[in-house]
Amino acid sequence: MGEWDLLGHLLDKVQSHSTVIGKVWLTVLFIFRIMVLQTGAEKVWGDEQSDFVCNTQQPGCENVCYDLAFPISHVRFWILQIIAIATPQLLYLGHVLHVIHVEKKMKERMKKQEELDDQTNLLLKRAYKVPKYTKSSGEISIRGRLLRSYVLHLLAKIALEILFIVGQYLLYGFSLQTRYVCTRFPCPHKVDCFLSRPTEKSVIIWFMLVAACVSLVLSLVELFYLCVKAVKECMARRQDYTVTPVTPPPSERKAFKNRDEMIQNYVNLELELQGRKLGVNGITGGVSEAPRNGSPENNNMGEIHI
Amino acid sequence: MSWPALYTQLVGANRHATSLGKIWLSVLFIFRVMVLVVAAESVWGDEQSDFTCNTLQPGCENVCYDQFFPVSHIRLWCLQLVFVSTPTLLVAMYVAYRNHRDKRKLLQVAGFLSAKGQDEELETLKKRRLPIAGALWWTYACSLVFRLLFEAGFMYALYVVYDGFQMPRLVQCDQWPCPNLVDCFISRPTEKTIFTVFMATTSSICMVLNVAELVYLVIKLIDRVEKKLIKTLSF
Repeated sequence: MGEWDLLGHLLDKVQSHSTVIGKVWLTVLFIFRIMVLQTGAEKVWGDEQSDFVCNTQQPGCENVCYDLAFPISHVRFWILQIIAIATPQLLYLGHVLHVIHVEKKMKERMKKQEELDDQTNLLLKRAYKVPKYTKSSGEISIRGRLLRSYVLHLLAKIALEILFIVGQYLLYGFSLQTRYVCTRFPCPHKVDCFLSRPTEKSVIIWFMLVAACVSLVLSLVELFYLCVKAVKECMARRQDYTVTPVTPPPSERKAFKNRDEMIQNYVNLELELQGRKLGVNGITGGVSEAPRNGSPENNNMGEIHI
Repeated sequence: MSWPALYTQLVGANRHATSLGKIWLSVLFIFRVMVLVVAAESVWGDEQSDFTCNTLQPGCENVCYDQFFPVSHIRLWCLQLVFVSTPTLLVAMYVAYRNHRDKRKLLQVAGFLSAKGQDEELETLKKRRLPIAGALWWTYACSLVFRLLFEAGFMYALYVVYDGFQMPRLVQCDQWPCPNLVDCFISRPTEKTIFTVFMATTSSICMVLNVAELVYLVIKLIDRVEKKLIKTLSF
């Protein structure tokens, strides 16, 4: 995997910040596409031009007919395809690294703050931003802007994959014929040109096509999975609202003897709502332990556990 | 020295780079070096063996190929990538000089520390990340300017030598010993055009990144100068 090492190393970094299906996708990419390309396809296409033979003695005719038949070789097309579909993942990696960098700075600032006087700590705590993405275990969770960027990268991957599959179909179809008929200058007339190893090439084309379709399906499943999780979380939140509305209905408000009692009731309801959000299945939302023990580190808002 | 070795050298120097600099390095190695090594070299692999001229005259193909391809695209791109990578080594050299100077100062001053304490200090010295200010700012800005010049220079050279970024299918040649105006056919012209355009595009993207980085450095400098002025004025 010599030349692909750098790409492999960068994509490996993204692995820890993607979903399970994302990890499977990456494995498919490396084993079924890059490795097959390097070890198999390049040898099969090795003699594509030298063994492209035309039924003519006219010098230059073979060159131009080969150029007409194969504007870009399959192998190079697949290399560009792999680089293109890896690009959205690399952009997402850039975003993750940026987030990690920002969160590290915030944590350092918070550490410095804790060394200050306790009183000033309480006063200044609200003024500083709190790390949003880091879980208590120190890992980065995919939520908020990061989740949006992840979904965007999935959409881009899907679009590029479809583009390249359709492009390949329009250029060459999905199999190679043994004979190619060519009439370009300087060929004197319609000339029969014969491809080298068309059946073996067709087998590999089909294999790479199936691998591309599997990758596409995995990306679609991942997108669907994230959507379902997001919908589930929305439904869970909505259920909370129907059970305990934040603002009491007008009829109940009249029951309060004075404004202070009403305010106290409102505060009580809000605290209850926040406490309720903790217990939802696998999905934590809202401010978790923060108001209770005063540490802002376990802030898990709207997080999707993947 | 090979591409992976160059990469290790550049990554070391890139620790002191801005985020744009890090992005630039990734773009350089993934979209240019990797594509060059994995794809482009095999496209240009048979450029002379499949360069066919419509003549039986021995030597005619050789001279015609030499006339139309004084320097192969692949070699030009290799040279471009090497030249574009070297200004980063300027920054690495400056950082090494600073580390050496600070190490000497540290050894002079911290003589009272134990051996372990001294070692620890030296380790932090090696691992620290210098802020881009002062002489390092100037070195970094110079390296960016050189990078831009080299990129632009090589792109222009490619454009001039090959009369644009498109590879013709047929060239006509009448150099001695060709007996008359001879048609010569280039191998895989369309694929070569596609890759030439691809490499030109990535080169432009790298240039844009370098310009953006330069602008960012200038803004940082202005910010710093402003803060200093405010500090001195408020006293």
